[in-house]
Amino acid sequence: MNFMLSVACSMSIVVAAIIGAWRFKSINKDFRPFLFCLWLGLFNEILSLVAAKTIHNTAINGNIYVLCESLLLLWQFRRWGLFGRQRSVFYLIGGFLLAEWFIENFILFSIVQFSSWFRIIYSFIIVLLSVSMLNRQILVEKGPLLKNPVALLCLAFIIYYTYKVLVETFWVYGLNESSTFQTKVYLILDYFNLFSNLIYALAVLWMPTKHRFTMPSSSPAPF
Amino acid sequence: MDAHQTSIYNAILLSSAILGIIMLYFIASIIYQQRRNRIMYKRSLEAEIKLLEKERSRIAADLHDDLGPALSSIKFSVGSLDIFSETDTRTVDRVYDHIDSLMSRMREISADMLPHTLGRKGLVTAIEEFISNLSPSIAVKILFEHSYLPELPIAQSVHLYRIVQEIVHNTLKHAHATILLLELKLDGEQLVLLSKDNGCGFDYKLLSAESPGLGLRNLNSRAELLGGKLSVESAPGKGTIYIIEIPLLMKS
Amino acid sequence: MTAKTYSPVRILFADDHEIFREGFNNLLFKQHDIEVLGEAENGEDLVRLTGRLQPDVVLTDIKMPLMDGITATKKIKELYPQVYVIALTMFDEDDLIVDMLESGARGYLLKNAHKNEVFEAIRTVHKGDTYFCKHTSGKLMELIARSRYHPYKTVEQVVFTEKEMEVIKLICEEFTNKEISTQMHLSVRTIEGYRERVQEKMKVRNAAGIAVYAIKHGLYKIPR
Repeated sequence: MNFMLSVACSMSIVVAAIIGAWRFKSINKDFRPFLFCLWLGLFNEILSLVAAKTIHNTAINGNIYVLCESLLLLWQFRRWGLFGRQRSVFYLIGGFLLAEWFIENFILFSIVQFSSWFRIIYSFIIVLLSVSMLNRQILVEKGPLLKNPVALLCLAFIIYYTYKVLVETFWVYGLNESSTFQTKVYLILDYFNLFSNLIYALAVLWMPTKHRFTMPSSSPAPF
Repeated sequence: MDAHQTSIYNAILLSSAILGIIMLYFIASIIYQQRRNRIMYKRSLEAEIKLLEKERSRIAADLHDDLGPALSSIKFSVGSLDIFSETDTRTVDRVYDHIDSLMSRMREISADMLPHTLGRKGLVTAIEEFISNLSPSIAVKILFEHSYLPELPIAQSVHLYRIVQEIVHNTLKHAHATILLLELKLDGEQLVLLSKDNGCGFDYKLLSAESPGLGLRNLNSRAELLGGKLSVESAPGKGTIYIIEIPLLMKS
Repeated sequence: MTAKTYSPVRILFADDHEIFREGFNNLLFKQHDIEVLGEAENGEDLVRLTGRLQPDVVLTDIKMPLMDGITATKKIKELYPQVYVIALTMFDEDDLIVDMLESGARGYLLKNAHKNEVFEAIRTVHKGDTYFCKHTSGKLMELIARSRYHPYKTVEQVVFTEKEMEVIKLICEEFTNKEISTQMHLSVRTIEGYRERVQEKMKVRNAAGIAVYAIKHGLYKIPR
């Protein structure tokens, strides 16, 4: 029962993914990394369902997916102009994430185990980046803040990834014996997942079209 | 789940709830502050532009009322001189010409500052006059199309007029275009002003990364003040398109 | 041979800018056939002086303190109908010009007119004809024609020949004499002759006058 609920919450990403596909042509190119992330997310969910039924281990595809997710989101922040002119911070963070992922999945532990540390670290980083981006939007956005897709996404990220850090931290402390416990804890996260997926859908719906070059600071910087 | 796990679980639940409340409060506060900021910003923008327009109409009036009669007077006084030599006659004629061109230049400046037709005959006529008053020697052919428009409140008309002025001046100065198309039409509940030129365009992304020119910022301010949006589409070599959409305010 | 004695045209003028009055005065006081009786700086003074000095022609600015040109013109027309009024105006005052004409002015001048035009205007109006400044815009002509201004004493039906009508039309379309002569395949001198006859019949002095008369009497319709 709980499993089905969990699956339903995760699959809710399909709404955002469909809206994204339908509007893909007209949406401003600077939002593409996030759209790719959505579709990858959907793909991973399906893959997880298959993996759960066949090899009974969703860790492998999960680990690979979170690496892709983290890098895609990092790229998205760059497209939004968060890193301004200095590319160095971007490469630094990206390099660090890659390195950590490799070390955790191949050296310290194994790829068939969920790489919790990686999840904690990248979630934390995303929260910090989202906070910065949101702050910028607040200062620059002259219309209703909640209608601004960048602000919406950052808000969703902050909520979801903060909870992810929380849950993964508790998870790391070896409380992973009873499966009831597992599912119950993860259910918290699932609700937030559902919530953020719906926010994503809203944001994608409101994403500006190619024409809309809004003015300084709020407009994405060049590559 | 044993008792230990239950208590851990409860701890997680509790800390999640607290975190959630803090976040919610944080978000609500942000939104509220941002709203206040918006309102203040809009007000200061309005005040700024009002001041600007007042200045302009004052200058126009001063030019018209003070400088004008003085120039006429000079012309008459010069005309009253007894000229006996031919060279002097030529000089006087040239002085007349200078004064005439001064006066016509003054007329241009005054009209530029605040066109009378705007208040008397409406936005469309004022724009048509503005275009036809441009020096005939400019290299750009300007086409102005408009659909039926209801009567607009004067404040809105002035803003739109200034936007058109700004776009035309920008195009003349920077775009090296040969054709400029201006379109003003009603689109449901919105007024849409579209301008399209076949000039050299500019790298919008580059421009907005550094501080955008005063002209572009001005356009944006006015569009925002009207409660509307400015969209720009431009690329080097591909011309420039400005689209301004503003919600229609009926004349009360 | 009788000695032709003529008396100079006696004029008054009014303007609220002293610097303008000074220049205008400079212009006129050297003319033998024009006598400046005095100057006023507002409408009230103007009406008062008109009563006291009884000029032939009055030239007045439109925007003045205390009493503006329009009200002053109406008063003068009322109290001293034998006095003719000419409006003096800056650019961009089209509506006011029409108001002045409707109030009884017989003509108007732009303040930056050439000195010869000023003299011509005064002399023309003194004779009883109307005078419109040479540099009148088409729009203004239309405005005047559409207004209630109607000084034409059309007791006799004025008839124009076919050739005259054509010249009138071309003048209204702002062609020069040379261009008209080319279009009509006649010499410039013939065109000038037609023009003078037309102006005499209409009792006007220049192209602007012709255009206003023509529009007013339906001889020419402005194309939309």
